[in-house]
Amino acid sequence: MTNSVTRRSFMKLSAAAGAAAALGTVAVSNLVESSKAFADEDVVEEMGTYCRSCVLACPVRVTMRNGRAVRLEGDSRSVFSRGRLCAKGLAGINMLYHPNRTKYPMKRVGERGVDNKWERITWDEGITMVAEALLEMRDKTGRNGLLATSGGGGNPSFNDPLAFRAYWGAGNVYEPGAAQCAMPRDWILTSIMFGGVDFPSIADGQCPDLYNPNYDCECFVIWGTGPAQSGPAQPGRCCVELREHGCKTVVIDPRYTADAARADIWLPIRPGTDVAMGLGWTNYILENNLINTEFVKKWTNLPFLVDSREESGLLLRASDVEGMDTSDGETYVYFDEVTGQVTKAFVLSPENEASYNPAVFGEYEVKLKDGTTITCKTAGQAEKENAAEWTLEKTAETCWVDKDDLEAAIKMYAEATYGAISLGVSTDQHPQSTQAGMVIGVLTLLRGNIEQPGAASTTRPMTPPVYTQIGIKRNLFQSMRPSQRQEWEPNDNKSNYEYQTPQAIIERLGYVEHKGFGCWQHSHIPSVYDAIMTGEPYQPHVWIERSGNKLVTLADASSWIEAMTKFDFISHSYMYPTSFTFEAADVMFPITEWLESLYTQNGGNLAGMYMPATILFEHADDRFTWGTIMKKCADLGDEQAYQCYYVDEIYYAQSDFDLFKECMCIEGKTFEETRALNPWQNCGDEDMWQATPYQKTYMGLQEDGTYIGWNPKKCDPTDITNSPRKLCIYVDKIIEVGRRGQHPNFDMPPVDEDYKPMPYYWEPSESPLDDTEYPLVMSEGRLPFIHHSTLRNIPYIRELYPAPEVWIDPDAAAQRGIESGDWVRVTSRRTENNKYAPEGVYGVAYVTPGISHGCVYMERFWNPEFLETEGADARKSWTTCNMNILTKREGPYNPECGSYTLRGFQVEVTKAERPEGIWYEPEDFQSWLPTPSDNTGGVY
Amino acid sequence: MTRYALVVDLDRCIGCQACEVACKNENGVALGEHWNKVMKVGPTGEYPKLEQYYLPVMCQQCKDAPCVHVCPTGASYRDPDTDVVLVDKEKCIGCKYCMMACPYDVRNWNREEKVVEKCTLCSQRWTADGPVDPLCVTVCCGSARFLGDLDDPNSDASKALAAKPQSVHRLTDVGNQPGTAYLLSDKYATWKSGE
Repeated sequence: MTNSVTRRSFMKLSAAAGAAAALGTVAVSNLVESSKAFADEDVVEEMGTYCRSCVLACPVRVTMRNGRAVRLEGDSRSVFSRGRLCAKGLAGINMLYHPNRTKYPMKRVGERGVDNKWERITWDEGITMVAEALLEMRDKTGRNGLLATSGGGGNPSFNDPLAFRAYWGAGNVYEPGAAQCAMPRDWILTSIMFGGVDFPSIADGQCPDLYNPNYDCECFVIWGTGPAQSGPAQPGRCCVELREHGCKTVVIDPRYTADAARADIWLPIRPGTDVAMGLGWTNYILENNLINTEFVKKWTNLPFLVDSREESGLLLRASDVEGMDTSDGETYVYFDEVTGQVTKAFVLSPENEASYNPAVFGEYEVKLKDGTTITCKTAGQAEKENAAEWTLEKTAETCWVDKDDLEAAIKMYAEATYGAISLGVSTDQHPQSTQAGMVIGVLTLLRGNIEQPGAASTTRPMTPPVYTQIGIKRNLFQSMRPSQRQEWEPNDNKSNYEYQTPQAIIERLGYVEHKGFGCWQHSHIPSVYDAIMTGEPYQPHVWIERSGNKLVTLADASSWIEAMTKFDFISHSYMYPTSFTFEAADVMFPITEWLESLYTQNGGNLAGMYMPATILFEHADDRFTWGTIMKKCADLGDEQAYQCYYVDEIYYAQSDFDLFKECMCIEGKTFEETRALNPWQNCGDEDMWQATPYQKTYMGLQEDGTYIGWNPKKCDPTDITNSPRKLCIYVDKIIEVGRRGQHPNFDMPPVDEDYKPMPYYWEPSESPLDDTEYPLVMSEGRLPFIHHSTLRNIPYIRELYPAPEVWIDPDAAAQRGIESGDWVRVTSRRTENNKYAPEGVYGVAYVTPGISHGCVYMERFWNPEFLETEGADARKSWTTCNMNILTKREGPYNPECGSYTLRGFQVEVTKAERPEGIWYEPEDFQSWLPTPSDNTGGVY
Repeated sequence: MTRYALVVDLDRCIGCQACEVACKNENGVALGEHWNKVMKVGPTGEYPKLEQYYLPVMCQQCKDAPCVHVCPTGASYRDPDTDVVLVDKEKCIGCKYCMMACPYDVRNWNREEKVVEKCTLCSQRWTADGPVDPLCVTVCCGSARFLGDLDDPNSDASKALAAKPQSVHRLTDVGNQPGTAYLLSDKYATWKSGE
């Protein structure tokens, strides 16, 4: 086919300005060439959907001309994005019509990591390859050889690998994020300390009340998160409005970010010392009596006494105390300051609350049922002593910040009536992930900043929806609902079939030691790696991967190349081939871009669905790929898959697309009518912000007249059967989780060492304090125009940022003879004896005072051009500029969540030459602009 | 008189560059060319007490526009109805005098068509009812950009100016009288783009 429409003229046509200009040949749809000219008869339509260029899912208005998406804008009805749209979202059209999209299933011709040659196959051939590999694995070594992986690069189907593994019955699931992104905070905060109220991560779409136009928040602490970086249209916009309305801000970040440049105080923290910083804040607040005393007394567990007989730090139980009747159930005890008695905790109500006068601090004698007397601290006293060593001096010295700035920042937060702290991804990328989340929980709750006006963690229940959908004929696996990830139970099905046994759950790699994984049902990546390499405790055989480029997102990326050789079969589903496809895949499946997706979505006050503007080529929503694999396994005689697909009717296969469409419709409306309404306003601004949060939550009353309080299922261990419904600042529950897990129906084996109920700091295993070989501390970050490993092949994005920046302070740069704009190579202990990146990885120096001095920041990157240039070494796509070659897969790991080290490790930076073969000048990206191509026919 | 221009509130600009990409999408601007470009000014100061601002630069809609004066063919012109400075590509002979005359380097060379291009305020979208916000304004994540008639006190741009009268700055004026105004509060940073 000849390209009579040039790339440039396509771009012209896609612009409104070009509409009436000289039209040559115009594509009708699918960007497929047509000789028909539409100059005088353009059919212009508009439709609504959501962006999926990151997790925030801003609602988008799409202008279609003659069936082709030509303009994207935001939807101004959204209370979160208010019609704004960032560069990532605006890349949507280029993503949709990218010339290098995978257009149909293909299978490898030749060897993994050697030959970049592919042959077109049918969907049925591809799916049959996956299913046959699974069944061969089942017969040879059992069902647990499955590895299903995904990732956060705008992926709407986080739950699908979990669902597939559950219905398949065994195996492992991971995302490079999870333990390294959001899960530790979600687990320790949402599911324990905050009693089910969402963890405060503004960049992940939480913190709804900060968008409240009443702007109650007086001080917002932006800690290890970049609102303007991660989500310009929502959190970025939110912070602009907060500042405009007088909210003071503190930014804790090694980088001088856009938000730091507008903050009242910037604390350029040394990466890896966040827990020390948090303990310093805790100590200052407790020492200077800046706690919200009434809230802490009434609504938290700090008054409860700690059992001094227990090394683990368990709270004392009422059943152990002399004279206490626990026939109504087990609970905690406190010391009452008015009566002078050790007293059994109870549920508060408006009638009895005046009689509750607990001491928050101090030590008290308790007489036990066995006749002994012990002295017990309150949990508040224990927290105070735990943080006591973290004076301002020690904290400032450890974290490399100015002591006066530190004190001013703490006071700014602690003296605000309503304050908020948002903690971002940074601390999850470090072995102290859970402790960092915990210390933020402590600081939040000491100030009572939960379910309050302007708090970062609040519940905003939606009013009843305007429209409801027809009904779900099969499981939709609605993604992005934390409750779905945490509580979804595959064994709860029509036929009571046991898809997943307790043994299969316990066998998840690394789960016994790191029980925080139960939260998202994931496995521990280093344990998976070890199992792949050693076959112990069992060998993973079949890898089904759905995301972008694992070699750019996994720590110590080079070490995975050998691991890939151990698999019998690997499939990769993505929109275009990546380094992973080249190095690992036996078969690749094309999947939809977000402008082609048909999917459920919860969009705040704008409810609705991802609606396809078009579906190009043989692309399919990945949900149907999983369903089609399950159906094929059933058809090939797998009994469990048969049960799943045919009996319990869990899945939609690609052949069920029409049924799926029908299920997605609004009741009483056709698909076309539903599409025209999408997305619909489920509640207006007033409905959204109608009440202060606490009126409907913990301060609300139950039928028996008691306060609703805080969710005991989240906050308390299972032996507390008569819960006083408090928030847990002191995380008593974590000890039980370590000893038996969180499964209602069975106990897990215990961890070797109890998890600790209070935050604690340890110096990073690679530390600038004693490292002379690699003296600089490495951090990574986020940028406003790319998300994870995406968009490096989008011309208008890549020209903004053609290579990763390496930020370095002026002194460190001068010592190394480096100036801004110089190419540098960065090395770490992982590049020693590394055959893939022996010289380190390359980036462009940016010499700036805006980085914690002694630290460097490098962005994650890869170079898709090496996959697509004739004669180029495809391997260089991930070995040239990839900072995750430097990161650390080996321990220490976070005890609870298994997080490894992506930040806060040691590197050296050396001046270098620009590596050969990379595309760097804007014109280099010309071949990635949209081009017409053959229509392959659809899949559905 | 009408005098349309963009006003940009730098207190609100978060440097996300959505305006750059939106402009290129809408106007099909070639790779390497920018009708609108976000510059980073800073950080400067004594670590860790730094300051910085982002400066989006586009055609400033000068009252006394050098590009119009130097154009030998009338290709650079003022729209008689709106007074917006535009380029008529049919008349452009590619002499690039206007590119040299522009004090702000905001004119672009279209290699393919061999003509000069620049920001049009997306006036091709305007209707009989009046101006329509350009895409760089509608997408702006900080809500920092405002289009309006500076001679109309009720326009978005005039209202933005009136709200922060102490913070109004303009790029260096060498007699051309740039229309675009930038708002930057002293509490965030000292204006450094006017020398």
